[in-house]
Amino acid sequence: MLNGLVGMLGVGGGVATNFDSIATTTVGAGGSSSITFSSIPSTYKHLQIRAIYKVNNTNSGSSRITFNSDTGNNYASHYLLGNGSSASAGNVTSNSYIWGGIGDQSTSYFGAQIIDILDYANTNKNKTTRSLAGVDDNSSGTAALVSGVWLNTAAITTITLTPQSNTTPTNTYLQYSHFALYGIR
Amino acid sequence: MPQTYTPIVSNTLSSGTTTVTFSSIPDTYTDLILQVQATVASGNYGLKIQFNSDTGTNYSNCFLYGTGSAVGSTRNGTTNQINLAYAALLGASSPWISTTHIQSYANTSVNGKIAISRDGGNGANAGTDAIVSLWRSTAAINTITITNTGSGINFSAGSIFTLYGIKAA
Repeated sequence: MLNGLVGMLGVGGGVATNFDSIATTTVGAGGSSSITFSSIPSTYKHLQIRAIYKVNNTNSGSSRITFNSDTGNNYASHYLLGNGSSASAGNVTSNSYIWGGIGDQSTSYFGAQIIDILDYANTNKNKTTRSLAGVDDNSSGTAALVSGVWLNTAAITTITLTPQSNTTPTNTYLQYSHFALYGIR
Repeated sequence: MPQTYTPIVSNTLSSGTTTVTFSSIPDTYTDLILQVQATVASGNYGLKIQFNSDTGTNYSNCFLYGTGSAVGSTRNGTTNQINLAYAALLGASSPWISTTHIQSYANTSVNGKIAISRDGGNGANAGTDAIVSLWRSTAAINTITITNTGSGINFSAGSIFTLYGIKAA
């Protein structure tokens, strides 16, 4: 089940800020197969997603990211990973999503991911992301740095996050997973 | 619009000290961000933090590091600290810097508090890291104790430690 936009834009008044909370979603007891932020205003300069999440399957992992419901092969990712014993680097091009960076997620503890999307509303540029992600469960862990691109100049109005799925059926985010979208002026 | 990214407390050292403690951290934010820019009086050391005065072996860390001549990854488990640097990057000359995100720090339904950090320094020991750390506790974090890995080694005057709160809608 999709969990959509649940946070509210702030009402008028108060202190003008440069880092605004746009929307927040917390996963309930039934879990969620994806998270969607929609109707994103174009009035900020950059976006940041701050998330913690736990998934139901160790063959799942950090969030795949797509924009404006585009599931075509219009994305690429480059990554640097540390799995606690060795570092590796690689890329995924002509892909249907930006990769989150973690392939084998703990089912016991929450992972974390911070995603920056720079100049998201500029219609003269493809869209670039930067991600810091990690998980550790006291026996294994992964730290990841990932850059991504959406090869499209459209302003981003929708962001969809889904758990990395290496098996079928698709995996789910578990209860208390929390996703927050912020706008930066 | 309510303030979303708020400085909670900042400490710029006027004289050397071995320990910086942020206590009585309010539980009204969603995430914390700890920013450190520091040097030490002498030698080269790492930086470590503990939550809620927990000195037990309830922490673990996974490192992705680059030293300028090598890249690698390692981890430690069942340890008594969160490490904010893989190597002894905190020195006496050029400041070492670190940004640590402590996510959902006050949510007692989240088993285990996760911190992800980036740090770097270009002193006698130079390098940069991405680190993910776990504190195996459901408690809300109300205290952060910051020390270096030296014994009795002071952070230098001028070192800056700042804690920010981020509030989601």
